[in-house]
Amino acid sequence: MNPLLLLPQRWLIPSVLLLFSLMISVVTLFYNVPHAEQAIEREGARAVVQMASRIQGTVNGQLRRGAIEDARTEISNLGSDSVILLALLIDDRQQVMAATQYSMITGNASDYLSSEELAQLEQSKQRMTGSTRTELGKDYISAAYPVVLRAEPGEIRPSRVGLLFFRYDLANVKQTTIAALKHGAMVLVVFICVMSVVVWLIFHITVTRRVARLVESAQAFADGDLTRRSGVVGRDEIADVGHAFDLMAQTIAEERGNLFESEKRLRVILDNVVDGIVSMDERGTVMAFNPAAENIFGYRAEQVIGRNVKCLMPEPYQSEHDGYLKNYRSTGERKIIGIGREVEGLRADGSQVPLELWVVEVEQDNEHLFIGMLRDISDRQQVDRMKKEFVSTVSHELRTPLTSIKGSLGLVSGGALGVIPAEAHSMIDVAINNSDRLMLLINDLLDIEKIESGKMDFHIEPINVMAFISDVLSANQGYADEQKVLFKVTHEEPGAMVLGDAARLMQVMANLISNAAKYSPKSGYVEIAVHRVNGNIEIGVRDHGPGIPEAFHARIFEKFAQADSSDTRRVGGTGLGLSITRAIIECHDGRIDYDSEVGVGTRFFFELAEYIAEKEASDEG
Amino acid sequence: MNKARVASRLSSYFVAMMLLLIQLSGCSDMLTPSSEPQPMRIGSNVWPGYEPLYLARELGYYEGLPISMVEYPSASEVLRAYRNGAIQAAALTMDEVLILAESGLDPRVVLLLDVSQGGDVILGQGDVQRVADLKGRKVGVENTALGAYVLSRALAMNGMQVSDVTLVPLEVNEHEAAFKAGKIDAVVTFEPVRTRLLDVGAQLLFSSEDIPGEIFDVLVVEGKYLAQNREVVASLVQRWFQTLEYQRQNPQRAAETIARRQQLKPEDYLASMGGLKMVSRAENIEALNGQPPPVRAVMARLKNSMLQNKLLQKDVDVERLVDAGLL
Repeated sequence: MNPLLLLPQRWLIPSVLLLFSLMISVVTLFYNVPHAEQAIEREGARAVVQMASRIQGTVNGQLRRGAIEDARTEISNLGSDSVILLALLIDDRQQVMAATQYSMITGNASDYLSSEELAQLEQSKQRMTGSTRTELGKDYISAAYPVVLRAEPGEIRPSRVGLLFFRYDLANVKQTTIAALKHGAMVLVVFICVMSVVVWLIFHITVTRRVARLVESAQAFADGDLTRRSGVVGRDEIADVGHAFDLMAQTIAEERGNLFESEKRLRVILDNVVDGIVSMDERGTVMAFNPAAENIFGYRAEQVIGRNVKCLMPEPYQSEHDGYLKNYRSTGERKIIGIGREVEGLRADGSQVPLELWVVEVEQDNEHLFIGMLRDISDRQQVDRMKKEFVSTVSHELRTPLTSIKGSLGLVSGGALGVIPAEAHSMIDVAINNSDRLMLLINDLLDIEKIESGKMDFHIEPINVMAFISDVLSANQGYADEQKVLFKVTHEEPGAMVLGDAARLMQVMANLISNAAKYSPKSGYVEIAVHRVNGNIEIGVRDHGPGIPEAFHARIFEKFAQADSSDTRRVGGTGLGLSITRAIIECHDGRIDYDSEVGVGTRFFFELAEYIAEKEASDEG
Repeated sequence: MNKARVASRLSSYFVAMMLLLIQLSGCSDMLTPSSEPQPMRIGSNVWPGYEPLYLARELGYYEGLPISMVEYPSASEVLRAYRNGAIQAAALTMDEVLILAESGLDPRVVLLLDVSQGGDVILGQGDVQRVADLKGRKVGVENTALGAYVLSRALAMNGMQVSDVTLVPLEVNEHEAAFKAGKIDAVVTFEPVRTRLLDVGAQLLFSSEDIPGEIFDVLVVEGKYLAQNREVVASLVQRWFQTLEYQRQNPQRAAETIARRQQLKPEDYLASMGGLKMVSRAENIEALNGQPPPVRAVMARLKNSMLQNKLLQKDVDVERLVDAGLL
């Protein structure tokens, strides 16, 4: 984290300011002051050079003209300048010719000057060059400037050289300058200190208090006070944050209200729905239990929520359930999810209740939830059972007398009672036909009842398909004659074998062929074809009848279904045939379907897995 | 977060800010690179032979160069300024250069400017007709500069002593007024004062034509400055010859510019130029180059003459006075 973020800003910024003022004082003391001293010395030296060379020029001219008094006046005038500590005009024998202090005139320069200064004088004289020197440890500059004295008699170029000597004060300037510097720094430091306090105050008023208020509001809001608003006023950034917070709080509060309403509505629906609804997590722990479920199981919701769902199951499901879930979690293989089925439920009092169960899986926040919808079907089962028993009983009870009636009618028709008049014979034929039809109806009803109750038995054996087809054709030839249609085998698969119950498959073929014959035009063909399709044997029966109307497609395999209920009378049939047919094919693990085109014809076909027994195949081959 | 690390980072921020502050306040010192050429101030008095230096300034030849001209009333003042370090270069006569060298200074002759052929003179009031007439008379002379040499040569050539005349030390700017006021009987002077005094009837007693080749003007540069700023001095030398070329091609226009500074009429200025001869580049190279350079013999003669006349008190090493490398 950025270390600048470690400190609250109301402390950080004043601290930076204070640090700044500290730096200013440090820089002033350790950098600016020595720097200023150097600058003063430089500037002083420049001023000395300017002044000294000017005086040198003036005094040179005065001495050339022999105006020694003028030179004295010039030197005296220097005394009025506070920075000139001392000014001397010295001749070539070190005798003082003019000075700012009259007592020194005619005195010897060596009495008044230090040895370093005398050496400086000597050097300036030698080189005829002005020189300045800052006295070490003393705050003045000493300057020595040569002047030409009058030529000796007999000499053109004057060889005598005098000297001007000045002491130029720096102490005063240094003191004032450094005092000003320090004072300036001090004022700045005080100013910055005051500034930092002011900044702290500004922060306290504009930031700290308002941020605290924002934080407090946010916490109250988080704790559930949805009516809480920050109420920060102003137009600055903090106010922007405050307004954004208030807007957010407003929106959340509204949405919470809406959600609450919507949840209440959903709750009412859930509570009043007829089906029991139980939701659970991946481990089977019950999470919700609606009132309908309470009614079914006799538990109260709070008794079940948090417990494992298996407490609602009788043995052996109870023990197996963990296995299901574990298996599902590891392999994704579903046991009951997505399909409606009938199960047994265990009630609070230990009794069992038949239930219809649908389980749906939903994914929420990466977690799988299961929602079970339950319906108590004990009443329905009771009704179904009673219905089946009724049908079974009625069928059996009807068949026995019908057999007797049919037999008796056959005898009468066969002339066992002597020749009967032609009118009576036709009446008896009507009676025989109708009892046949009644017999078929009863057989179909019994088959349906057997299939539904799972009591139909199958004698599975290998069947040679082409042989089976020829059996089918001869068995149904009478019916073809009756309906005036012709059978034709349009494609064969010699040697094709399937596993199945020949009698039941015969029933299937009879059904399909009779349907085809029934809907074929007079003298039309019913075409039978056998094909190998993807390792299956497909047996198809085609007619050239009117086709199946579009509207009827969905219901064609249902019980008591006929395209036109008026058909029942015209073409005969119970409406149970295709339903039974499908049940038989499905019991053979096969598939039945049809293609149909209105006005062209219909083809029903079913597929059964081809049976390949190599030993038997080689025997036959 | 690691507290020690935070502390070290905070302290590094602090150090950075300190450095920044010091940098800011100290930048005025640091911004002056040592390679920047130092200014060259060239001092001179008024003399026609020096005029091309000023003509170059008028023509803008010094633009972009750290060169400035400092104008002094007399050679004595030029010498004084040079000694005090107020100027780094000066236009001087060779005898003056020898006097600077005598004091232990380090002047380097980089260029010969002109040779005086009558421009330096001794002029007398009406009754003074010859040098010999000066006996016992007041002679105005700039005895701290060239005047001392001219007078000493004139006296020596006429068999006279210094004590035979009364010296009145006057700098060249004082000559005209003193002479006209009759404060002096004769004056040792040079152009343009020569022309102005001849106009009011002064008598020509002696001129540099009498001592050919002895009085010549040179440009000297202080040794240390020259060592550190050779490019500046080399540029100046280039501009000098450029200006001479300009003057040769545009004599009238140059004369008009120069006459203003000389306070002469242009035609008088052109006439005064008869008293001296500018030294061309070829002549400069011929005189200053070579082993040994021919100018050195001239200097040695001049030095001996000055020693004889006590214008120099001690010997001067003329070997190291010449720097011909900039031609």
